[in-house]
Amino acid sequence: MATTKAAKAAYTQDQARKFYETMSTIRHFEESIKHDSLAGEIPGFVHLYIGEEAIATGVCAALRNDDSIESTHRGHGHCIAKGADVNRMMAEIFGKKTGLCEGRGGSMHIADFSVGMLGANGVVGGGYNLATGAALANKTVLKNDKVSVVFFGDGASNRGTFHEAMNVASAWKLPIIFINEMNCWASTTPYRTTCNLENISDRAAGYHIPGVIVDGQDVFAVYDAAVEAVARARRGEGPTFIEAKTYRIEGHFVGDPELYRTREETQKIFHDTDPLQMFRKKAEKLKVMTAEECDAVDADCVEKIKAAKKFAMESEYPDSSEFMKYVYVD
Amino acid sequence: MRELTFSQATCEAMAETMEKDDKIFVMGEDLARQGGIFGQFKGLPEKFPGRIIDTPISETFIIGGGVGAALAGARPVVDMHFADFIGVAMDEVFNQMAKARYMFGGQAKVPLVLRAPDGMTFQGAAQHSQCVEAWFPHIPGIKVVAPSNPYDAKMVLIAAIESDDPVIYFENKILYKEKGKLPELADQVPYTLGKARVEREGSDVTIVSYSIGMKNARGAADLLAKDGIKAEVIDLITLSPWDKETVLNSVKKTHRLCVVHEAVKQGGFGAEISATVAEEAMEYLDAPILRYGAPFCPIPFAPTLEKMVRVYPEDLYKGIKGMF
Amino acid sequence: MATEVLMPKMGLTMTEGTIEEWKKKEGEAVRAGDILFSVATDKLTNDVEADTTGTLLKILFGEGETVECKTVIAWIGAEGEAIPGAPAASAIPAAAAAPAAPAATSPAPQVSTQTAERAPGDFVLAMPYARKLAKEKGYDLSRISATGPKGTVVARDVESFTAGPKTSPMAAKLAAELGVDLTGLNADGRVMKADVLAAAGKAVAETRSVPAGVQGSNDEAPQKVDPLRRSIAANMTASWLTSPRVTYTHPVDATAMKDLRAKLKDGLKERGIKLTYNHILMKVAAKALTEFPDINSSFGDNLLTHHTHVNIGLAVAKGTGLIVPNVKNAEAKSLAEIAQETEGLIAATREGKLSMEDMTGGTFTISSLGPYGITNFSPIINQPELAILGVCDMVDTPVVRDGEIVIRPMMNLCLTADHRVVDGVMASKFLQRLCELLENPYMLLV
Repeated sequence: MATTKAAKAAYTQDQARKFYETMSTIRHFEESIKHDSLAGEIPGFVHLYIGEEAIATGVCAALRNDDSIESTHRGHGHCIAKGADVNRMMAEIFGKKTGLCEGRGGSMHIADFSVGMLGANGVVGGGYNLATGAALANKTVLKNDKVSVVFFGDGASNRGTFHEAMNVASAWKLPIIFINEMNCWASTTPYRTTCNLENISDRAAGYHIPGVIVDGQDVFAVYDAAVEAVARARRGEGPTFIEAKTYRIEGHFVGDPELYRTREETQKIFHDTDPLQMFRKKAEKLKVMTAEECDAVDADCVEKIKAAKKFAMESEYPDSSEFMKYVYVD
Repeated sequence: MRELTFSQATCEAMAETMEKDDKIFVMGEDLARQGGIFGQFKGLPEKFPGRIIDTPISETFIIGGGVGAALAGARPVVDMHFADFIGVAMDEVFNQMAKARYMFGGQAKVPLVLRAPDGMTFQGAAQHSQCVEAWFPHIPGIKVVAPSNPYDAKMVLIAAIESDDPVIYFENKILYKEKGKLPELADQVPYTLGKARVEREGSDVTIVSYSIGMKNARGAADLLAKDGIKAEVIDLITLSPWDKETVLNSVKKTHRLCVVHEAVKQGGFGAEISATVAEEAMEYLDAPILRYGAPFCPIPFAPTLEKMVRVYPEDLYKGIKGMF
Repeated sequence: MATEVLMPKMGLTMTEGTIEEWKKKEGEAVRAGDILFSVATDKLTNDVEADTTGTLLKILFGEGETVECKTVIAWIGAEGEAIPGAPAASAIPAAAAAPAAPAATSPAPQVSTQTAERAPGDFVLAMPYARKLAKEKGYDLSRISATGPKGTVVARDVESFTAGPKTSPMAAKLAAELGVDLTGLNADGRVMKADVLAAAGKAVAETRSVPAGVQGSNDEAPQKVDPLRRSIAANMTASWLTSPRVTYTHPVDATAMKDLRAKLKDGLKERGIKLTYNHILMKVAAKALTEFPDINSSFGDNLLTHHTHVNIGLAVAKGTGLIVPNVKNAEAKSLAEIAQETEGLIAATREGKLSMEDMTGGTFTISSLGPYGITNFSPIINQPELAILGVCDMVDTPVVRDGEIVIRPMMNLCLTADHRVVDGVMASKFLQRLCELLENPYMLLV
C-alpha cells in the first residue's frame, strides 16, 4: 500500500485560489441548504458535505471537463467541484423548472452531464458499476482517453457491487479512480462496528489495485494523489483506489436527531480539521494565498449563493402537466 | 424468402446493426469464445473483434456497467445468460437503467438492450426456467419485448438496439431452434416498438399472447377452427408499452378474450391485459375473460412434474369452447 | 363427471339439517342458481341453490329426512351419466362425449336453451355485451332465455329474442315490474308504456274472475307457506309451550331520549350512521342487562346458564315474516357502533344476506311496534332467551311534574319475562332501571 507523499511545493496562486473558491462555494452552498431545509423550504431529503469539501475539490481539480464522475446521495460538493452551475443546482434542489434536472431529481439525483457529472445516486453503492461501465466504454468502444471517477463512502464499500466493479476495473485495466470518502459513519452506524478494517484501501490489494491513503481534509494532498491516479489511468495502467480520511460533521441528513453521538464530539473534530481552515494555514505557509484573500473569496461566495437562492426562488415549478416528460426518449 | 432459426435471426440483427454503428458492443458471460450458450452470438466475435466481451460472472456489473457505458455514449447490448439471473442485478435494472433519463431531467439517454433468455427447457428446474417478463412492465422507463418467431426476433432486436431507451429483450430458449421465413434484406419491414400484430383474423374470440405463448394461441386457434370457431390471434410482441388499442379493437369485434403465457398466471402480464379490457371494454364482453398461465409453483425438475406447470393448446381449446 | 350435492353447513352451530322439500325431481334439468331444495334447521328454513348446471341424477335422501352437514344428498351431472358408487347406467350415449362437430358449422351452444324462469325484478345473470344489446334493442333482460354458461344470458340470446315486439325502455321496465308478458302484446310497431298498463289492467281483471279451490266449498285450495313462515310458526309455538310468562308494562318519559337522539343524530349522520330510538333502547338494555345477569341467561333442564356477553336481537320484518338478527357484545359497544351494526343487520335481513351467526346466539330481544301506534302488547319470548322487551308508540301525554301539568312524550315499555327464572320483583326492578336510564341517559356513562 502506498502512502501520501509530502505535498508538492509548487502550486500556483491561481490553483490555490481555485481550490479555496470551490471549497468556500460548497461550504456556503451547504449552509444555505441546511438553513432552508430546516426552515421547511426545501422538499425531500438533503445530505450535506460540510467538512468533506477538500476531497471533491482536490479530485475534480485533477480532472478535465470531459472526464466523468459518479456521485453519491451526498453529492452537492461533487457537483460544484466538477463545475456545475450553482444557480441551476440550487433551483434543482428547490424542485424548480430551471433546475439541472428540471425538477425531476432533486438533491439526491442532481446531475450535470455537460460537465461530466453523471449523477448523484440515491442507492448507496449504485455508482461503481456505472463508472466502471463508462470507463469500459471510453477505453474499448469509444476509444478516447477520458477518465471516470466514482465517489463512495465507507458504508458503501460493504456493498457487493464494490467487488464486482473493482474486479472488472482491475482485470481490464480500466481508466477509473475509486475515491473512498472515509467519513467514519454509515448513516447512523460507526464504520468500525460493521467492518474489521481500519483502512478500506486495504481491500484494493485484493484486486491488485494501488491503494492510497490521503488526509481528506488537506485539499493539496488530495489533489496530488488524484493527479497521479489520473495520469496512471490515462497511461492505460488501470485503476487507483484513494481512501481520503475525513469525518461527517453533519447528521446523515438534515434533521437527523443524531442520537448516536454528541454535538461536542463533532464540533471538536470540525474545529481541529476544518478543511477550509487547514487550507488557510497551509496556503499562508506556501505563500500562495493570504487570509485577506481568503476572506474576500468567502465574501464573494456569500453573494454568489445568495444570488443562487434568489434565482431558485424566482424560478417557476415545473408545469404539472409535463410530469411524464423524460420517461422515455420516444 | 429465406429460412432461418430464431437464433440465427438474432445474429443477423446484431451483425447488421453493429456494422452500421461502431458504438454498439456486446458484453455478458460465455459470449466471445462460445458464441453464447444457445449459439445466439455465433460468428459475431470473429466478425467484430473486441466488441463482444466476456465478462466475469458479475451480473451487477454486466447490467450496471452497461448503463454506465450507455451514459458515457456507447450503445451496449448486454446478455443475462438466463433471464432468471436478472434478479441478481435488480437495482441496476429498476433504479439505474430505468430511472437515469427521468431523474436527470432528460440529460441522459440509456440506449441499452438487455437480452434475457427465458422459459422452460432441458429440465432446467426452478432457477433456469422462469418467464419473468411480468416484473418489468411495472417499471416506468424500461421497454419490454418478447418476440415469438424468427422474423420478429430480428426486426424487434434491431428496433431495440436502435432505440435510445433501455429495452429488455426476452428470447425464449425453446424458440431459438425454431425455423421461420424471413424476407430478403431489401424487403424486410422495420418494427416499431409498442406495436402488436393481428396474426390471424377471426370473429368469435380474441386470443392474446407473446413469445412462446403464441404456440398455444396458434394451436388452440387451429383446434377451434375445426369446430367452426374463428379465433383472432394477436401477437403482442411488445409488453411495455403495450398495444392496448389493437387488443381492445379486437375484443370489441369478437366479444371474447383469452390471454395465455408460459409465465405464472398470478400477477402475470395476462392480468394486465385482462384488467385493461375489463376497464375499457367491459360492455363488449359476452363471456368472462379466460386467462392461462402456469400454476403458482416454482418450475419443478422431474419431467412428470414439469409438464404440470405447462399450458397446452388443448387447455385453451376446452376453455374457449366453454365461452360459447 | 357428476357433482355431489351436499347438506350445507349454514353457520358454525349447524350440525344437521332436515330436507323439507325437493324443488326438482330426479331427471329434471337444473341450472346453477336454481333453488334445488329447502332445508330446515332448529333456527330457520332455508332454500338451497344448485351450484352446478346439469341433470338431477339421483336424490339420496327424501323429504323429512335429517342428515348431517356435508353428507352427500344428491348428484347432478350429464344426462344418463353414472353416479360414482352406483352400478353403471344403461347404455345411453352421453351427450357430453359427442365428437367434435364437422368443420364449418357455426359456434354451437353447449347448453340447451331453457326458458327463463325468473320472477320479475330478479337479478338476471347476463354478460355485459348481452346487457348492452338488450338495452339498445329495448328488451327486458328478464324475459330472455339464457343459453350461456351457468345460465347466463349472452349476446346470441338477445339477438335471437326477436319474437317479442320492440319496446321502449320505460315500457320494458314497467312490464318487468308488473309481470306483463310483452310477447302477447298486440301493439302497432313499438310497445309503449300505455300498452303495458292496459295489459296489466286486463291481467288483474282476469285473475279476479278465476275461481279457486274446491267447488261448493268456502275454502280456497290450501297453499304451502314459505319456509320462513314455517320457521316462525314452529318457533312461536315452542316458546308458548316452554315459557310461563308475565308481561309487565312501565311508562317512560321519553323527553331525555328524544333530546339525546336530536343532539347526536346529525353528527352521526355525517359519519354515515343513522341513529334511531331502537338503537338507544338497545344500548340502555345492554347496560341494564349487565346489572341483571339472571335475565341475560337461558334456562333448561333445571340448569341456568349465564351469558358473558349481551347479544341483543331486534325483530325485523322481512317480507311477510319476521327475523331476529342480533348485535353481539352490545354491552361493550358504543351507541354509534350499535347503530351502525344494527342498520347493517337490518339491510342484510331485507336483502336475505344474513349469516346463521347473525341470527343465533341472542341473549335478549327488543321488538318495537311504536311506528304502528301500539301502546301496549305482550311479545313472545325468543327462545332460549328469558325476556323480551316490547317498545310502544311515543304519545304526547299530560303529566304532572313538580305539581304542574305538562305535556310529555310518554312511551310504554312492555317486558315479557319467563317466570321460571325471572320473578315479578326482578322483572319490575329491571324495567324500572331501563326507564331510569332512558330518562337520565347520562347515567350510561357511569
